[in-house]
Amino acid sequence: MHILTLHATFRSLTFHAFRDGMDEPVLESELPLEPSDRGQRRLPADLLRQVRHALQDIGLPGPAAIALRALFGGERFARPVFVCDAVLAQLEPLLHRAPLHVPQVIELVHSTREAFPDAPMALVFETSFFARLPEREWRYGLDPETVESQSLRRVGFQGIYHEGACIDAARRLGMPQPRILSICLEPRPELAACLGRWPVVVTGGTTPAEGLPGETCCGDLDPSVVLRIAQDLGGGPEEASHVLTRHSGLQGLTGRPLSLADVLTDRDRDRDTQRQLAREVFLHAVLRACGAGIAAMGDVDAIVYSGRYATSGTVLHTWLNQRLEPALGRTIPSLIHTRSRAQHLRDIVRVMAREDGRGTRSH
Amino acid sequence: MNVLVFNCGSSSLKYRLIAMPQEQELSGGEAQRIGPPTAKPSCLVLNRGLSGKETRITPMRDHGEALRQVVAVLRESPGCMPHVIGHRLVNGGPTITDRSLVDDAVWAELVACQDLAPIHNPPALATIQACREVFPGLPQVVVSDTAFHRTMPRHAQTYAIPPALSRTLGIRKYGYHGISHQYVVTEAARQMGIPVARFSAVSCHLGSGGASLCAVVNGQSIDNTMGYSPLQGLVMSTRCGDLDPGITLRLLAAAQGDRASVERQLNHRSGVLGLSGNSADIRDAFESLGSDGDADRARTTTHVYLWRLKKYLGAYLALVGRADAVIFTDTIGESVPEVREVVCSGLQVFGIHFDTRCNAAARDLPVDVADTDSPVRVWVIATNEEISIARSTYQAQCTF
Repeated sequence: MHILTLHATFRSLTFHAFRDGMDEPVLESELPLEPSDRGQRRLPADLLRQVRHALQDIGLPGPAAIALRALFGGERFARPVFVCDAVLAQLEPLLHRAPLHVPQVIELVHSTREAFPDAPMALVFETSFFARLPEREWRYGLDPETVESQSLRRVGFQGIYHEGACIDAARRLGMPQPRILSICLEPRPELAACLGRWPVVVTGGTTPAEGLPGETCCGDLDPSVVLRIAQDLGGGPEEASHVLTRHSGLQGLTGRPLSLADVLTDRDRDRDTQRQLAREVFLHAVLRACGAGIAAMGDVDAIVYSGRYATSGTVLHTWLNQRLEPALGRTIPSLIHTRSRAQHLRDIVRVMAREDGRGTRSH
Repeated sequence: MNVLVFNCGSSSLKYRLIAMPQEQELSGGEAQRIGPPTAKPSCLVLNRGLSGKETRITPMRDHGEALRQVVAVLRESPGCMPHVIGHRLVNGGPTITDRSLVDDAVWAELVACQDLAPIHNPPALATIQACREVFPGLPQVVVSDTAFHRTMPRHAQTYAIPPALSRTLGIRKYGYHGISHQYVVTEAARQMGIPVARFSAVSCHLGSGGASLCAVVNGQSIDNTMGYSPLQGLVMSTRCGDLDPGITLRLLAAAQGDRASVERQLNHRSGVLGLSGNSADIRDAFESLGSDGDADRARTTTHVYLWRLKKYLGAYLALVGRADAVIFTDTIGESVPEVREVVCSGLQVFGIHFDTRCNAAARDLPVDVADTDSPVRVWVIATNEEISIARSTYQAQCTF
């Protein structure tokens, strides 16, 4: 069955088309969204028509099913779901918890339905993987009234990669429930400690700002620093949020655009002290997170690297093993999980369609 | 040489007169409830050795008055006058990175960094000023809690925000509880017969109020769970510890930009108090586990408190590499064996083999509660910040 996957960010909509029986996409493209300085960007009205035309141009018929990646599904969506009116109604209460992402998903659902009215569409949530996160991990040191009124709960935001990587690791290790450190090397990197497919620790927070420093995102910060910045910058919470999520992290430290892979490979370390510092800040945070995850699980069987920079995991792993071996008395095996998010989305919706009996018509 | 040590709290003033280098305490006590009237009167509690404690009710409107009461007590006993004074300073800012003799330049720097520890630094400065008046010409030394962490590598001090912003606002990780960490690390190394310059450990200062872990390699701090302020890190009695930056901003938006109210919430109404709803002391949560009414909330409180602690212990063991010991100190670290047991259990992967019976029976400190064959030892050591300040002050006086 032909499957279309969609993944929207603030800057663009990426789509991948998979032909039946082929593992790699036959078409992939990134369409820019209408520019905006900050906040949510609007989907151009004809964006999904562009996708449909692109499929027609290479002779692909309409997809048998569509997978749409959603960043946040709260506690309500512990599994991917096929879109229906009831599902859309259940997204509404999540608007205030992810005010930039959820409206974009709803808008994308409507546009996609219009462009592909016959194809069943699944929402695959990054946060579903963390639905079973233990309370001691998701709860902050705050009073329950504040936690409940503001829905302040730790979740992870790279669940699709983590789940795929953990399933792959268990298979390759031949263990039913290995103790895995799953390190997702994306522009917003994230580490999860998982017992099989059960996450017990994750570096992400209520928002993706917490955790490991990303390409533009600050990662862990003293709350006093956040308050100081919000006050001294003069723009209040919104301006502070913009600085901490768009102009901080590795690019903030170096003052120029670069990727996590650039920093990890560190080809010109001798010439760029700021880049060297950014690398060391990131490695320090990863090493701490590894130690925390190992303590939480009691041991570790492997570290698995995923995400678009998964292959940079080899460099990172060499460094991590050098640092962890004195503490553990041994090295840790590594696995590189190279499957893309789009491939995971395709796999998920294909299984869903088969189980549900949808999308089985031949194209 | 008699060293008079002052350790200021917001409404208290601990003092010790210690003969150095023999480290013999000549006098000691604490002025309590300094400041505005409270339910109980201000008083001076004096340590009388084998005779116990003596309490004197006396009004003390500020730390200057408290100091004068302390001096009056010292004058009652012959040979109890100081030759040098040492003050604890919670945050010495970016410039006071070691023990410093207070001169005009240092004084100006102290005034400039008052806001970095708004609860503790101002009363310390008031005490220094009062000492200048009472003991004109007597050398005064400030020993900063942040000084021990000056050895943290640059990447451990750096937050991933634009450097220009860090420079302009003076934002970096300082680390806290350095005087206590330094004392127990030195003591653990001595107990194990390892030169402190080759001693590596994770030090757990678990107070009934604040708490922090410190990663130590070759006797030097390489990381501390507290950050720019003492708010970051572990779940503490009333402080939230680590928090998603997005949450802090959400709370600020909900408070309509009122930074002070968010600071009050995160510093004074969160942590163990916020989680439990009825007590800021984790020992009360442990005691409530068996009760009918609060058991669920108490269980959540202890789980969140211990989980954060355990994760940080693992994080710091990874940073340290080959650790010689894990050290527990201060009120909770010394007196609550359940905390040590839960936090150290299941960490054989790091070389920690815990002796639960020895731990439960630990009374006379210092004591090693690790199993005989544990590669990493687990020490419980009573902290003594005043001795640590006295040592630094004495060394400074010998140097200057």
